[in-house]
Amino acid sequence: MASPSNWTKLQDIFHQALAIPPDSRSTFLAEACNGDDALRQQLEGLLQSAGSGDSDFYQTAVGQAAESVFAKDQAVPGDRLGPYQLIRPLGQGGMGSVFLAARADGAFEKEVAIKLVRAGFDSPAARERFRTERQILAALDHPNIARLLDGGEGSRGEPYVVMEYIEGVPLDVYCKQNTLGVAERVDLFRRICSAVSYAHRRLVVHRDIKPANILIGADGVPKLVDFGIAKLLDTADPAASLTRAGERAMTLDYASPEQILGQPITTASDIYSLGVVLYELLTGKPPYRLHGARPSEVERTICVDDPVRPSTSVARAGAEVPDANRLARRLRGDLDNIILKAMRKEPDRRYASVDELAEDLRRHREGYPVLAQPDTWQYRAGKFLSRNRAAVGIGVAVAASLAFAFVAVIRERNTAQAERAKAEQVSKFLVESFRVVDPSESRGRTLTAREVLQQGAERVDRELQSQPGMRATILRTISEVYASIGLYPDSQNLVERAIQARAAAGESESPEAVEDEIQLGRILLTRGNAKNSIAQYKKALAKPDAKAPERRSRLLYHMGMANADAGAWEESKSAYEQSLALRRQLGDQALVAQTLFGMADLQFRRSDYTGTLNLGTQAYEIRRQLFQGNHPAVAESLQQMAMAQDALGKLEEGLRLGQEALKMRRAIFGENHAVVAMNLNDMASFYLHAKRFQESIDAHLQSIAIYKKVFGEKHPLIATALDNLGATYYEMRETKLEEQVKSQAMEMRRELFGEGSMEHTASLSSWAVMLFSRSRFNEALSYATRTLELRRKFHGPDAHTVGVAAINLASTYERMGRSADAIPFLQEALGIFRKRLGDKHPTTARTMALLGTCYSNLGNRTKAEEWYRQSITSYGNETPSFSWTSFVGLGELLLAKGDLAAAEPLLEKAHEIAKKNPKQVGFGRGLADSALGRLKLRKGQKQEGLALILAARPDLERAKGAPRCATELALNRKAAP
Amino acid sequence: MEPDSSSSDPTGTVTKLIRASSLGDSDARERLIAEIYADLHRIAARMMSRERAGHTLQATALVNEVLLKFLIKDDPFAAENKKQLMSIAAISMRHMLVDHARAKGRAKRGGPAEQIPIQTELDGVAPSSEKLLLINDALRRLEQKGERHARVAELRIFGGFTTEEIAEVLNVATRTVERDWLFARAWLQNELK
Repeated sequence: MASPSNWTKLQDIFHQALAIPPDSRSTFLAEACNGDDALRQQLEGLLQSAGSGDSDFYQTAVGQAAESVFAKDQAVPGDRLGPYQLIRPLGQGGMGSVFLAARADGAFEKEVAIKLVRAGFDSPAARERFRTERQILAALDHPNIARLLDGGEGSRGEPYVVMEYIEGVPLDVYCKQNTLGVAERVDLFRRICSAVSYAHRRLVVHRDIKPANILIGADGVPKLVDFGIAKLLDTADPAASLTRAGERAMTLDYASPEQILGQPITTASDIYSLGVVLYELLTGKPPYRLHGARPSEVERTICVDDPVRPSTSVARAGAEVPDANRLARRLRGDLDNIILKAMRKEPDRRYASVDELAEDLRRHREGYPVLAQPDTWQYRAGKFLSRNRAAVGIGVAVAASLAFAFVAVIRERNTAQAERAKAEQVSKFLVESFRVVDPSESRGRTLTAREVLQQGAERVDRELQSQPGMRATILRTISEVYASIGLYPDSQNLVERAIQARAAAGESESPEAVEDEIQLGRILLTRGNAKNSIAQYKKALAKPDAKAPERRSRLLYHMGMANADAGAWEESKSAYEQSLALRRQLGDQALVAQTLFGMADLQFRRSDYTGTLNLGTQAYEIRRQLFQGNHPAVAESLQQMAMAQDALGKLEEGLRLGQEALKMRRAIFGENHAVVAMNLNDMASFYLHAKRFQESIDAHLQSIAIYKKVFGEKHPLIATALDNLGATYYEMRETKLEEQVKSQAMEMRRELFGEGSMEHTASLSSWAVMLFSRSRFNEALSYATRTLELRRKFHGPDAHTVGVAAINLASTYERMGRSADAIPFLQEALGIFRKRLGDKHPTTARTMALLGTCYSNLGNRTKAEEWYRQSITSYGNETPSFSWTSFVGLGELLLAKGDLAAAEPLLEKAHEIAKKNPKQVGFGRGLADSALGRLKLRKGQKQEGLALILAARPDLERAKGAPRCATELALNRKAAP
Repeated sequence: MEPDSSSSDPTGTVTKLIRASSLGDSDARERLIAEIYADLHRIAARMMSRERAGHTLQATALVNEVLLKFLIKDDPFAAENKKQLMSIAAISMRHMLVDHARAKGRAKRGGPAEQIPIQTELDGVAPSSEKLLLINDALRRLEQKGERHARVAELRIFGGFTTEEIAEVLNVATRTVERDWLFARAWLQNELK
């Protein structure tokens, strides 16, 4: 070792030697060390070391050591997390460590990606948030989204999430590797949009969209990874978001201004990031140069500076980009505009939805003008509304639904009325009168559709005092708009005012007066008052002005609908047929198709689905040829066919047609429109029938979300949708959820329509039915009684609805073993049905059958036999599934009397019905089979008889709470002990 | 990048400690080291957990975060404090790593095995801690020879500071730091052979 003086010497010689070329050093060293071999040796070593070695040696060594400090807390390959074993780090994620893993228990072969958050939960609430968030993400099921599969906490309490492992190449790399052209890149991008849109509809925001999070598999299918994971991890480790500053530099390129500024992140933030991704995808460069910039610069660039137009960016790059000029031309205009609209600094100036962005790309791709206005009426309505939106602050969804309502109403008027010039004048006035709606009325808040229309109507009242005829026509038109957006009471109110105004103008006998009456009839029907609606139409038909063939055919068409609604099938058919004949004479194919559509609807109501399909297809073919492309009428027909196919059990076909209709309606009306919601509601039922429960629930939730946007929190259609959602929960055996949504629906109807209204009591009634089906008879009884009382009071003593309530109440009594209590209600129901539906009607027949059952339970065989026989006569040739009860009932009675020959065909018939409809018939199958078995035994067909008896027994045992089953079970056991 | 108010040192404890320590209060110096040590630990843990998987933890980044945390913009003594802090941060880093590497070595020799290692070749942790202890030992020997060389090396290796920063901390010319580092590096390299 060198002494202190040597230390200085050592350094001096070292530095001097370093300045000398290596070749000449040894001479220099020999001289400088002056025979001190130890010194020379040491210097030689030092000089050698100085020239060699890894310059990052210490950095690496210290870095690794620092890492190892925490490695003891850190998951490493081989560790187990729940059922998963970590295989190797992937390190591709934005945050948290990511591992490739596999199920350690071998339950699944598939490899997964696991993300770990190091920090544990700081509170039970955080744990709960993490869990909830995880569930939301786990529900994302889309072919272009990597699924979140599982999650939990490791042994040290560290939260983790398990995701589908995607083997793929990041989007940007993929596009370069495959030298994709602009069109292919845009197509790929649109697929990504569909995934993001799907998640947005479920209110999930990705928050970290960037090429690295979009992986393209070998099959070319893009998959978004890490959907919503940023937020999920933040819920687990809120402190982490505080350190974002340190990390931000990593993904700033795609971060929106609101993300930079720490403002709320919404779907609009994803739209921004998508814009940046598209920018980079098409130009090969990010819109901003952020690397190496100071944070304050970065913030300013993202939040203030306008990005260079994509085409300009390409043109500037010049030689760097092959074929730069052509590419720049390709981007100039539409694509520039689309990208920059997505990237606007203010979230509300971007595209309102990812769908809108994708739609604009589609338009561009297919050569349509971007954001083009397809027709003048739509254009005018849209323009008028956009102006008014600014002035009075109508919400976007409301504006959209109003715009389409105007278009629909005006379009119908155009096609349906001969006096086009006049119609045009009315519409123009209408549009004008809304344009000047007083902005001060809104006082800065968002007006509802209803308020907008109300203001318009008030203005009409004020300004058209001197022209009562015109005023009436415009009020009626507003009434139509109200109706088309589902505000029925307002609609009725306005058309009634129109009729008054018409009378005041002395125009009660005029074509316009007939139009008023048609509108009143329509709204009455919509509100469930078919009887008054029919009366209204009859009155209108009697007027001389109703003779004009087009108007008459239209009246008859509406007449057909009203009668169908009232269950007057023959009348309905006849009205439709007259309408069809007139319309064929007129030669107006659109109107012919409309009537055919109505006739198909009638067949649907009569459960003749093949007939529905025949007529519906005719209507569809005409409409398809007539309108071509996307058209509301074509979509309507598609949906009708879908419903028929679904009812025929062709579920796949139903779903396919329904999807087609939905797609078309979305293209026409946009996402937020009641028609789209209704279509979704139907789709939900189709999914339910196909037992695709999750999709059914998703469709319901989407549908409800749209309704809420369009109508506000409470609306009849929302109540209906909630009921339907309840039906799905019922099938899933989610009793609690079912009751929850159904009671919401009931309460909503009570508030909307009032206590005792048609709608409120319908809810009460279905609640009673639900309780009944759960064998909660006492509760069912109270609801059924309440329904009946309210309906008697509000609907009149002989309303159809009273009959239905009475039969429900009677069924409950019968099921509880209180047949004597049931009989008076059945008599009441029978009176009503006989009067309204006639003697020969399945509902009448059903009431008679229940009377038979009650008398049978009470031991009055004569009366029972009598009612069963009447019931069977009343069914006639129609034997719906519920008709089994008459056949079994009468068959049993005849069997008891020993009239085997008469009993056998009846019981065989019941057996057949039950076999065909096992689900609808329920315990009836046990009853039918057991009675048939006993009959066979009596006839000496021992084997066959015993087989039937024993097969029926479990059914009967299950349902022995029902009096009929208890009786039959006793006989069954006696027959084969 | 500016430290946000939530993570700076609002009470000024560290500033006071720095001042006391620069006046020769060895107790204050110890407390300061302890304070920074804890913070380094926390920051390193957090950095490990977030997007660092597969990367080597940057000592520079760690130490810089600590500095950020304690540097208060309006502090009149900011410049002087910063020098002190840089020095202390590098020392704390060294302590932390050495402590841990020693603990690791002990555990490896004596501690009970908690788990049967599944993939022993992945246990690349031990060599790095041994390497670190060797560096530390060499650095201690260098301290015996030339204290300034050792300080330069320490600031460089454990603080990740640049030549200019080190020159500022040590109050010497950058040229001196360059020369010292050149020599110290060769010397350490030679020791570690």
